[in-house]
Amino acid sequence: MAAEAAALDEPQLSYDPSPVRVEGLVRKHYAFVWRLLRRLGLREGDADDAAQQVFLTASARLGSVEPARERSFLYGVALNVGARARRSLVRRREEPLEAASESAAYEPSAERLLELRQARKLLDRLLDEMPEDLRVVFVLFELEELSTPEIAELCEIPVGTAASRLRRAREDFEERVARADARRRFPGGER
Amino acid sequence: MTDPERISQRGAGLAAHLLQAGKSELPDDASVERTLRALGGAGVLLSTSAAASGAKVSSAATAAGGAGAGVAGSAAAAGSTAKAVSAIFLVKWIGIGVVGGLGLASAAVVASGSSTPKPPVVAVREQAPRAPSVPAPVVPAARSSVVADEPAPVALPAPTLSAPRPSANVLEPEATPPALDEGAPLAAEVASVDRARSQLAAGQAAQALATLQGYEQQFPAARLLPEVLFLRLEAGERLGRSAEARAAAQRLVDGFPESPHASSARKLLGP
Repeated sequence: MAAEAAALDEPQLSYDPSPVRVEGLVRKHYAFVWRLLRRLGLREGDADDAAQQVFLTASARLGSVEPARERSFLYGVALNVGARARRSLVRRREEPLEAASESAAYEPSAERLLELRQARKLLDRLLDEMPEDLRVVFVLFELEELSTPEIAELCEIPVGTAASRLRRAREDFEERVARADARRRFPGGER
Repeated sequence: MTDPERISQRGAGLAAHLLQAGKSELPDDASVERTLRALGGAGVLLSTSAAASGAKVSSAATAAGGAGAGVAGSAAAAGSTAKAVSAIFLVKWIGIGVVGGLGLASAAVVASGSSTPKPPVVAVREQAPRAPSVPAPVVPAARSSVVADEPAPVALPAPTLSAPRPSANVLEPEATPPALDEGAPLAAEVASVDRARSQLAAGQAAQALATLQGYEQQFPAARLLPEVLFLRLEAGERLGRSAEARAAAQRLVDGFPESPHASSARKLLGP
């Protein structure tokens, strides 16, 4: 991420790097970073570790981060750390979701999915299947409720590009949801 | 340019439901606290929330918690003078009051190099520091896993405990008084809470709630009550039993307003 690279390349100590600011940074943005990492494909425990890595990295560079750019900076670091973590992880997505989906098939009502954990697993699987550039925009808009201009700024892309990606991402997601729903309702039909 | 309506705001449909589920997911407070401890800001925390958490664990555990907090304080001081993060890398899975204190005590002991490695303590795990060239080592989280392109840390037993360890193990760090009479039950309490936490993490919210509901009967001293109430809150939420979740939240706020978990409880209760 260019924002992170720029910040990391020239760590000029011109802003407050104090523990107080570090703590504030964590308390203010931890949930955002953690949830972002989760929806970018990390499991809970992995997201804990990765979020910690994000803030450790960020704290070491905080002196070069303008307060108004903290979120953007963290976002860049989180994407970087998350991508690295995903590469290094042995993915174990297969077991719980598939097994759970099988059993859910016997009661094909939407209520069966009301269990949050189950829903999150399915959500993560669907997000996993999305192209990465769409996924990022989608997650920031739908889950973090950022506006398109904010996403454009974070991702350092034109607003039009962000809007276009968002539109494609939403179509993509809804198609995948429809397919997943059909699979749940009619197991053994469509694969 | 106007943004489209968010899918999650449609209120109905599987897509909306999935996104609402994703949105409502939050890291647990312990995860935040672990990160804070791992940072250079740990000194700040040790004098505030961590200490408060330890203090809430009841007078019966005061000796252990106090000793832990004392050593932890040393660790914090050392950490701040030595620029931070280094002394804190060793802390592993510090979730709750006394346990947190003991974990930091372990970290301090190991960091000072004055102790031989100890076997894992109940609910507290340590790991060797990573290579110093790595910019920012991770303090592994409760649900241990590998993050970066680095060798996996030495895996110690997960905090899923089926049987309590002897009390001596719990109060093992140097400069800590021998186990109190309450030591063994404390280990059992920790094991019980760990079991509930593992059940929750495995999506077995109902089982977790059952474990937690039995906790206060099983352990009248209830020294880990803030943690238990927080987990009851979480389990209740996951099961959609909002009344139970709110009741646990209310008890947490009323009884342990300084607990790190109380802030989550307040959020649930609303203004």
